[in-house]
Amino acid sequence: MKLLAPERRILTKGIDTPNLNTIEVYEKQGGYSAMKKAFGMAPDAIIGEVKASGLRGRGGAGFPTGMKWGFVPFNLGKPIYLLCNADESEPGCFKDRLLLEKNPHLLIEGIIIASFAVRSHKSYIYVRGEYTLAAKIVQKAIDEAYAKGYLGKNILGSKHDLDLVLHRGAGAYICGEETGLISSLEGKKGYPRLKPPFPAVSGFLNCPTVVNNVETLCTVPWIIQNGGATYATYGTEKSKGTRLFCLSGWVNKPGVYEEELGLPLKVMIDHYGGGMKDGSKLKAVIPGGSSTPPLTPEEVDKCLLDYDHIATFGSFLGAGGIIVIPEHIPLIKILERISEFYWDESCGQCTPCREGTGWLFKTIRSIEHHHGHKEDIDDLKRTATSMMGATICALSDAAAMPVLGFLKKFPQDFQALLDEAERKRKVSAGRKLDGQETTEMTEVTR
Amino acid sequence: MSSVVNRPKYKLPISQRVYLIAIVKGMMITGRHFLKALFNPKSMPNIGYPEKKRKYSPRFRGLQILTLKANGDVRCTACMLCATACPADCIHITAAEHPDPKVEKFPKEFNIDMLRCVFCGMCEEACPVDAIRMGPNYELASFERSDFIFSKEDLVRLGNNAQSRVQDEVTSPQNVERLVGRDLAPPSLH
Amino acid sequence: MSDEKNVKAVAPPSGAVDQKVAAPPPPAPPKKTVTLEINGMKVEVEPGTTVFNAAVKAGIFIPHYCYHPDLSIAGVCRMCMVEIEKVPRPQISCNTVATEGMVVKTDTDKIKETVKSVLELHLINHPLDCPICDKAGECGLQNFYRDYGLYTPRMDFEKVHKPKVQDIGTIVLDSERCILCTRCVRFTAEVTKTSELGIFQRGDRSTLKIYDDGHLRNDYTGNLADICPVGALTAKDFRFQQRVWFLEKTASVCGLCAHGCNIDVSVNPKKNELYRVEPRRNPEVNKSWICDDGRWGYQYITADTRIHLPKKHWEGVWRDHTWMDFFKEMPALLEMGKAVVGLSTQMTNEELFDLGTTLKNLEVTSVVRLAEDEAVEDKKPFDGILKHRDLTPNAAGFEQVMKWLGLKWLTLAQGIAEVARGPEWVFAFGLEGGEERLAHLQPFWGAIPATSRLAVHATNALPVLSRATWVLPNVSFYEKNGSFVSALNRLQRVKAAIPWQYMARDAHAVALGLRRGDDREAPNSRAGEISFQKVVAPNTVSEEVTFKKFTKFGQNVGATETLGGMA
Repeated sequence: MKLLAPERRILTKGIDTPNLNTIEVYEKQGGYSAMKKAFGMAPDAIIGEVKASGLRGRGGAGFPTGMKWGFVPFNLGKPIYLLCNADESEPGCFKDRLLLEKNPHLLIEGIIIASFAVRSHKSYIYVRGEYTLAAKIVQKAIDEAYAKGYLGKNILGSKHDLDLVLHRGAGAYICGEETGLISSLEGKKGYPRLKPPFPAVSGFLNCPTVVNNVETLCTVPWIIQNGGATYATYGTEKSKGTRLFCLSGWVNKPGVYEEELGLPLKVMIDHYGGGMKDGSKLKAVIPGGSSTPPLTPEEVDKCLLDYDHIATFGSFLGAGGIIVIPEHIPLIKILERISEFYWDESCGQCTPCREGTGWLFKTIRSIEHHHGHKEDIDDLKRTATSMMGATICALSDAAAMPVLGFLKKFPQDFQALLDEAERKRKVSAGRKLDGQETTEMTEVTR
Repeated sequence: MSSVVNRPKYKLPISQRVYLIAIVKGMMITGRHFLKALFNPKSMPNIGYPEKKRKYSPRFRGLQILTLKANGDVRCTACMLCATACPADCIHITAAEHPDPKVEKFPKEFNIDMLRCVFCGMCEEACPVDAIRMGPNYELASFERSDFIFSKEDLVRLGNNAQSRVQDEVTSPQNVERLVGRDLAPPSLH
Repeated sequence: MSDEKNVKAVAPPSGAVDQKVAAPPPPAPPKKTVTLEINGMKVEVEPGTTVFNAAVKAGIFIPHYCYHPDLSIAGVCRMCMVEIEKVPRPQISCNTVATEGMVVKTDTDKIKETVKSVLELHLINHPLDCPICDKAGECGLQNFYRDYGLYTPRMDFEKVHKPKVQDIGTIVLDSERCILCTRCVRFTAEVTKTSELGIFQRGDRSTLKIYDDGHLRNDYTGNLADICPVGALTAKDFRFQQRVWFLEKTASVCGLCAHGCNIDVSVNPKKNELYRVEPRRNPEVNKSWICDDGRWGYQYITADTRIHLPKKHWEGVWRDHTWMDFFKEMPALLEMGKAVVGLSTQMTNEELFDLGTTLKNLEVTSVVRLAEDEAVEDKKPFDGILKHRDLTPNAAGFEQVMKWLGLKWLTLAQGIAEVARGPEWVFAFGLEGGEERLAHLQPFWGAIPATSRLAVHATNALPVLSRATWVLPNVSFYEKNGSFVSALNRLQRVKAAIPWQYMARDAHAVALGLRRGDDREAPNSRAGEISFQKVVAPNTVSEEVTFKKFTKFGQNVGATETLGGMA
């Protein structure tokens, strides 16, 4: 397997150039030339290029970007909004942060091109509340772009107007969901909305709306500059292009790495990650952020990082957050933390998610504290299964999938805890028969 | 078809036609019991009610009682299930808002018309909080019809007489565990 | 005689039945319909109809909490799941639009299992305090647990606790019982547009709360208790008064304003006591709502001010009398145009017809309509939802009945001028309610000179009664059979929910008494039903219609008014 050469990189080429986040340095690197080229093209031709590139949304769902742009009805007489989803909050993912902090003008250029393609004249960047530095840098970049005339009325005489506004979220995971983001941006509670109607038809302020991830929009200038067909030469047949992978966990060199899709996961961990820290043994890998089911060491050896191949192992590429778990960390603790996260972040709108996330978390916590019962595994599976696909947005699935995945792939770990709980209970029951009051009894009682 | 059958007339024997012998026989039994009661009253099945009272089985189901919570309030939540279940339609409850929001609902009035009651025990069965029970009391007599309408206070008073029994049976942890199989608080809503 | 529209619409009673108003013409054949299959049943619906509504049309029940026909779709309860062919997972039917050839199944094992697990999730944090919950007996959770649940509970963790028994005005809020279906939130946002309620916090800490811990500030608060599928919102008025399974509902029409909202009157048949008034859904009149005045306005029928017996003030003393005494005295009083007779538009069409006929036979010339003239002309609800300025239910019916009778009548303004001339007697028949509801009659009473004697037939004591000669107890509309014509020109049926109270007599009894000089024997007579079939139905809808068979949703007669303001 050939690795992606540094000069062939699409998103992170020269990302470590000092002061890349200023417009001067960015333009010196050839920035904003794709925008100028795009203004010379017809909007539909831009959508055609993006379609030809085979670019799929990098936010997690992997929906083809060109197709999404093609759905927008241009003739409704309503304004069209382009929203940039920079509310990156999936645990294990930090790729957008890199782009926002290091190369904000790339994003702005992408937004200008995308807005030109979808005939949008108002665009928002919804930045996660915790990204204070990123928000500051992006705001400065927007101001610079306005000063240069790249934003505002009649950009560079192209008759294209675009207002770009930076909006900071308040730190809710659910606002990273497309429709939750729209609700939040409208000033409402960040509740995801029922589909249909889809945002492409009726989204922000009931107008046609396109929501794209930061990484997706950052890829657009390169596609315009070099052509969709060139982009399609990267990656595999079905998963085209490169991606930013966020490597974290028990590896020597955690970080964000750009690679072509189709790279073996093992290479990502061993070459880029520098192998396991302290020579620990690999226990599991979560391949796409906390919501994706884990892979066993055997699967890690075989798995390729592309949308379709990873699906054969019952997992997803998600937003590209690879979390490496070593042998010595109990999986139940990781699962408990993941469940707690989803319990905390569930918006509470749909019953299965509101009640189910809490139930999953409480059950897993009780197993972790050796209070489990032998029927708990079945209960967990049943609850998680009934949460799958039962709600408005995918948070319920995101909460249920890791539970199902961990239980399916590592049953022995959980069984051991339940056996331990059962043993403790038996001991205490025996003592009780002897008439001895023990403190353990109260511990065991759930 | 009907026919007439002539039967010979039955004649009593002389010993029975003279009633005196039977009277004397009967008086002998009476006299024997009289003397027995006079000199050996313990051998008699009667008891000296109302001074003495018979001990009934603990499972006797007599007049209804209302049980109390630990703080002395009636346990009843005025859910009306007993009134609904009652086949004789003899339970009349008026519910009201309790000043304590944790209690929320309580019976302002709880009347049982004992003259209508058939002592079927359906009320006891229907009660979700074990507030009404068929108690150990059986004395039901009065000069006024209105006395047979037992108010909440009357039923609590009846219950107080039997309270020790109720306490023992329901609230002792051993019993609860034996009955329900696990450590549960006594049935209560709050 | 101001409403010219009604002249064409209503024919005189004398035989000219062929002129009667035909039922509204059937709607033009729809351009296009969508046919889908639900549980093997073919259903044809308009394009854009949801699967849920298609199932309703096919008579198939789908369990639901958050869906309400008169509110927007929330899609949060996830109970209305159906299986659609070629769709891998069950979908919610309330937000899925029916398409041509769709094959839907609502009764498969998979759906039953799905509904069961969603119900289980609804219940895991529900306090299950049914014994003290007023909703028990009509609670969605209880009903669906019986129909779809019946599982052994698996959750044995401490439930999530939230605030209970919060006073928010006319309603008591229990956030712990709430299943967060957001019906109430949508109601305050969409119908009353006051938005007092909201869901605060997120996840399983989500709590239904009122803004700023204040009170509800709209006139339709009672509906919140109706639309709440569980016992989270209970009406203070009904709270702990009665278990719902003791109550029987009578489908009637509200008589407290001119809108004619359809209501269900709940009565405990053992006690014959009225316990609650709820809206009855009629999409063309009141949707699923009624105002608080209509809901809780029934108290006057049991108020202390209710008149129990006919009374006469004679030679400085009040004496209890029988109706016979009045009927014997009455015809003589009415003779020779010495009297002005006021007829309240709170009487039913049938009562007005009976009484009108009697007055006509007695050749009474001055008949006054006891309703506020300007308010009657105002056919639209003044608040844009349901409330009318005219607090009498049958002003439109009054005009029609008088037309059939050919009886000339005076507006209130003309009536005031008439009584000011000092007739020997002034009569007011069919008044209902206390002083506030009859405030518009203040000028009328004021115009009566001290020399004129007054006889008032009313339900409740009014200040003017102190100077009356005869005080006669009237029957409220909860105790009457008959029909009203609402401001929307809709003929609707009023049904008696409780028997006549005390010695009250309705106008049928009064009319008959006047004719025969006799008190009607059977209280709560069928006179209203008979008159409806004989007079009202032939003149408005059809001869064949009987009182019992007449649609409980009413029928438009005369010019149709649109539903004012109801979006």
